[in-house]
Amino acid sequence: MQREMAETVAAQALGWLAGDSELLGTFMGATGVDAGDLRARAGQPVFLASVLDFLMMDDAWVMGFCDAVGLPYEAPMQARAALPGGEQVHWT
Amino acid sequence: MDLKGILFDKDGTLFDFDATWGLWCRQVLADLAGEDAALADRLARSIGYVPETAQFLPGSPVLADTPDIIAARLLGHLTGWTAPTLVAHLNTLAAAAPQVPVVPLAPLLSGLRARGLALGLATNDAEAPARAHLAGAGVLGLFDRVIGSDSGFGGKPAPGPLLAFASQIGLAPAQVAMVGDSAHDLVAARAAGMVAVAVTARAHDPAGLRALADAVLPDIAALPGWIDGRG
Repeated sequence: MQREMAETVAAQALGWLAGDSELLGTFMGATGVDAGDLRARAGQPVFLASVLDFLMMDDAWVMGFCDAVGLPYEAPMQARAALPGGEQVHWT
Repeated sequence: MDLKGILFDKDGTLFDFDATWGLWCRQVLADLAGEDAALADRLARSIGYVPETAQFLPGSPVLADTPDIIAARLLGHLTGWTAPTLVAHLNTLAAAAPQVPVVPLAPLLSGLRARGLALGLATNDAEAPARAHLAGAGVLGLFDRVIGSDSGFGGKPAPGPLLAFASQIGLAPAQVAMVGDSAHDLVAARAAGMVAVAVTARAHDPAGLRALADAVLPDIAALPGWIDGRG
């Protein structure tokens, strides 16, 4: 997957997370970001990669997100591989 | 930095989603159920519409699904309709559905233009219906740019459509405020380096919007006061 497309998928994932305050709270707790970090870093590739890392911790989240935005279930994994730090999980 | 432009989302920001589609929904129910109030109630619930509060439930197919799926839900309670005839009927009513503005748009947008601000629309709807909706509200001419998901710049939450507006108008992204009611608007604003403004009065779950926004307003009627307050 191309880098730009991957960033879009990750941004969609952040948008999906932020639409559910409970899930957003879980994400912020798990990754240690506060609201200031979230605002400052929402457009940065490294941060977007961490959103996908979090999403992929639970298959139900992956399916919920992909169903909501009309993406195939493997899209988050492919997008993660195209973002910084994703090279080691590039199996294809 | 001084604001020089305002970029609006459409559905839920300029136009009231529940009111617009509630109007459509009540017309559909009146057509299909006639005088049968019990049937109207069953039909409403089958598509996640709550007549008492005039709101759609979060899982309602009207929010995200295609007319085929809405028709399939309704058909279970109806006789005398087929899927193709019902879908065609739903689409006819939808095309004619007037968009209900959140507030009177012409005075608000004219007031923003009078402050020297460029105005734009960035919607994930297609450009043609977006222009039709603005024209129907009598405000198309107040927008410097109308950008849809098919205008060639991608769709939100990617920053493409926002950056296209800024560059076409000749502004730096930081001089533009993106105003929207969904997290996708705010994520796109952050990625573009714009000022992210959330309008939350009609949001089902506004906490996530607040976390992503530089400014949180109830609705677009509060924009002039917010802009003037920035000094």
